[in-house]
Amino acid sequence: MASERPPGERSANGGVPARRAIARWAWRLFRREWRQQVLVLALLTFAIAAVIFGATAAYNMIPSNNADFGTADVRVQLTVSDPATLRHDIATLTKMFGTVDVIERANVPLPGSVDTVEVRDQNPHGRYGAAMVALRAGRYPDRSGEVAVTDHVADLFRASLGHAVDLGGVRRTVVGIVENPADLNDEFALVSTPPARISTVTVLAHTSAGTRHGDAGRQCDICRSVGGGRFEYRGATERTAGAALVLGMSTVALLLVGLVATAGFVAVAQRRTRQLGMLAAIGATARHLRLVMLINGAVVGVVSAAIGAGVALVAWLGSAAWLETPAGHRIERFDVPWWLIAAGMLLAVATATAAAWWPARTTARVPITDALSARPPIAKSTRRPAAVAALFALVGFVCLATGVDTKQDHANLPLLLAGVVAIVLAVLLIGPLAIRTLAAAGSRLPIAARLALRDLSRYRARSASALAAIGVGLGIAVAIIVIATGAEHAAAEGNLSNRQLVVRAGARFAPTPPAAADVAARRNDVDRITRALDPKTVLRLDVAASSATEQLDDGTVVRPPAELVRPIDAHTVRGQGPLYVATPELLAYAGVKSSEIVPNADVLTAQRGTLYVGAGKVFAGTAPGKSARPAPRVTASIRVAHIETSGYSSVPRSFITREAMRRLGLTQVTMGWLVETTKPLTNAQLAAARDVAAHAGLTIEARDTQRGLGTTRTVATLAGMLLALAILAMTVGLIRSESGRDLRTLTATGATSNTRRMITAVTAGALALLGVLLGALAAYLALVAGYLSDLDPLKHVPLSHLTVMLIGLPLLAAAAGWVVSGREPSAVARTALD
Amino acid sequence: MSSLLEMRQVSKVYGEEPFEVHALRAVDLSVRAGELVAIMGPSGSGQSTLLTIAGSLEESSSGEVVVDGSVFSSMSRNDRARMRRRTIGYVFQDFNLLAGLNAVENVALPLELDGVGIKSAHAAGLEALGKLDAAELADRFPDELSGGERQRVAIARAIVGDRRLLLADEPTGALDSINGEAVMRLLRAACKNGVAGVVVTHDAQLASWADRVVFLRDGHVVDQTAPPPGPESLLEPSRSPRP
Repeated sequence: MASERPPGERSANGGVPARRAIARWAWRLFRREWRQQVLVLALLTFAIAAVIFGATAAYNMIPSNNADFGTADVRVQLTVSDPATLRHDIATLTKMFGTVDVIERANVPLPGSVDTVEVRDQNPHGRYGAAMVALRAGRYPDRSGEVAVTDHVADLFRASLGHAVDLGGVRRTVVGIVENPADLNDEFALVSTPPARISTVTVLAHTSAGTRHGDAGRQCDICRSVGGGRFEYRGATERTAGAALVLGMSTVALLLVGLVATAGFVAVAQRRTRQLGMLAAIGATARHLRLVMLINGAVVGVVSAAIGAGVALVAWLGSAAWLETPAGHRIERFDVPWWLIAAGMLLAVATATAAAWWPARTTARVPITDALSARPPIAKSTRRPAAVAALFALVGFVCLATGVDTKQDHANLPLLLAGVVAIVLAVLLIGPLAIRTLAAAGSRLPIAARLALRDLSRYRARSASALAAIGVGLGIAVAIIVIATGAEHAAAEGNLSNRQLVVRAGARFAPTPPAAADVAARRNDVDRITRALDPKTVLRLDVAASSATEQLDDGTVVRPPAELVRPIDAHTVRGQGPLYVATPELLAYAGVKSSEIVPNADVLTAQRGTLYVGAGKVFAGTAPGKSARPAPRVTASIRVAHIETSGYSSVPRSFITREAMRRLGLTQVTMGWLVETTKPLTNAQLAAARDVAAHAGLTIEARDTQRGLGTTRTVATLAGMLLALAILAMTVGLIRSESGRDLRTLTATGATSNTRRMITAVTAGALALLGVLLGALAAYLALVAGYLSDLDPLKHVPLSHLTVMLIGLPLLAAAAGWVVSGREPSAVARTALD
Repeated sequence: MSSLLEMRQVSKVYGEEPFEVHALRAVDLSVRAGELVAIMGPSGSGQSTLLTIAGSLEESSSGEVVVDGSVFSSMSRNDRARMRRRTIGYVFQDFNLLAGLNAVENVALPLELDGVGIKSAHAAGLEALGKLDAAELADRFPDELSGGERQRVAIARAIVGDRRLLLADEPTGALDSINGEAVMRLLRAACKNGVAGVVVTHDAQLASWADRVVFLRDGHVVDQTAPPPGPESLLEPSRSPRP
């Protein structure tokens, strides 16, 4: 017998030659049986494509510092005190840095709106600032009467090239459409001459360009000495960190994929049990046997990674242009983070290999004679995994409770990830007990259903990992739904509906007391505004205000509005919105029933807890709902009646009676009109209304841009269900394909297609039902831990969406299983040839 | 001549009370190098269990198994695996060739698993196939071979290298009589080269190729023919004339 080394000197495990032989066999097996693993391959490929696409998108979608710095690495914001000082400061900075770019800005009011437009004087070809301006149409302005505007500003003015616009009292002709390519939400009007009332001046510079001082730190010190200057260094880009974060989150997602892959590999391992037994019979060690499955997993990972990366790159190149709007900046599609792609591919191989580890370990432990008889491993007790699951759930809860503070809007990333992973593991480990319990509960069901449940319980290794994957997928969907529901209620659904607008008589939060004659005149203006709007309701909004007037910094005289305030602590209160005079029309509009009005009530409101009425201090230009201020001295008590009102923040929600106003010394001021139309307002209607309002000296408040949280919930429900159905299709396919022999036996004993359909339907329905239950439980466990500091957002249970999942998904899965199964096995008496 | 396989008071019990099944009850068996022993008995008598225990595929419940001087009970799983790679060759009724490997790779696999380089292992594999007149099958995969050809490859895998003990569990069960005879002839030839052989069979005609026949019933050795006086089977010249 020829051999390089005598037997005594060879490794106990055969060393490299043995590993090579095992690898060769594993590769040959993969080539022969890859079709049987196509579901796992497809799943991993899709997941890797999603991870790589997501990481690349995140890398490119995270805004760079170019938006504010251009290509400079130093930015100095100068306070404008007087022109001479400003000139002196700029000269100092020029002397300090050599070449500088100076950007002068002024905010001018948008006629007829509470919004303003930034007028920017900037050299579009400046050494550093050129990266902050790009021309989309026309040309750059080069004389005083010209302007180039961003598309949004053009929309606000309803202006296009060649039109004239009024910018702070100066008429300018639009000669170009521009943008800040690094920040598409940067809306401005570019001019070539300094605007009249400059509010800020930005100086861009570079520390290494023409510097006369040795190091940047010294420059920084000197720069601070420039009058009122705020010196900022260009920070390190967050793109890499953001992409790495996505990769980190993807690891959690791949954990889910790994669970499904584990179910697939368990099926593969069981299919290969006999061949592994043969291998053991001729002297393979347990390590050799594990290696077969691990190599199979690695090969699946490599193939998935290669195809997934290719798909992701093609998808990225095709969709990069579409992502510019949501990203808010232009995207260079060939700026691909190759290291991230390599990391994603490695992650895929690691996930697949790790997913194959457990089946490899279990199969290697099967006694050789059992393996040669193709007997699957005996299912172990479910009690120990359940106990470990409880421990993981506790660990996850503690990690999330300590790592996330929703009140402070702060999260400790390692603890957050540890908590999520612990809860995913808890779901994985509780699966066998859940399946066993369901199988026991179904012991009196008809034979087909009973057989399906018993099969799930017998082959717990693969059904539990499939269940965990479904549970985690649905858990993520449930978490999104619950968070969106909480956010929707917390946001009070915005300021106004899309059919409402408020025409204000004065500035937003400081009503000027108009004379009685003015009110009638302004009502006429409101009528002119509403003429083109098809209004259903026009209501005058009278608020309670202080009888005494106060003067603002700009000289305007106002009556401080009365508002409902809530004490935060002993020294501060927080405003809860203005108090509207309780007229019958307003109360009727707010949906307040007469039975809700308590006799002798001073204030009617939906607010609960301790409340005060304040009207003594003006915070001009500040939203009262967001400011905390010193607590007032309480001089009188009020009686509050609780009512149910609209969730919109700018619609009257708190009312004060005339009797209470008289008692508290408040007066009635008309602050505006609430207009409700029969159809949602269009942008053109709003622009026309703003024009009329601007001419009449009025301002208009319309619905703020709101994220469609309801849409988010529905999308999450559908996405979660689709994900679960996809996982179900894969896992039920795997489970039933492994039960082909049983199906043949059933068919041989006279089972009809209905029996076969019932088995698949019950398998799918049972996994879906358990998946929804486990997913919802896991999601609520994680959310309760995360929101522990403020559980209010979780009080709103999205019953409709959860019901759709809880009942709809199992029914849908069962129906799909029923429809796609039932085909008679092609060869009833034939068994697979080894 | 010393025994290559020594089984002393070996018992095997499956399951637990009250459902336990005694597959073997205090079996003693000794097989010398160059000797071919046939195990016969009704189905369920424990023949296959005896062979799997002798081949270290499973452990006995009690008793001692010694192969080539090594006591199984004192060996680790890895040591027993090494024993199967180097000393024990096992032939199954249903061949048990690995589907992804061709004939010579199947034959060479125990050597490669033992750390022998691929070239040396393949050369040894070809040599083993050549001994069985099966060298022309070297590049063919199991699903391209007939039943008799598969069993020849399986026997080549069992004798490749320096194997000392050949265990065959109904090696002719899936073959016709002509192929069955041929397989027994191969096993007989292997034993002539100094290998100890144990064959489980239900066929008395094939058992007559053995030097000694051991009868099992309900896990007990109930009878056995006398050990041969010399290296030739006592049945060979008179009862089974061969071509």
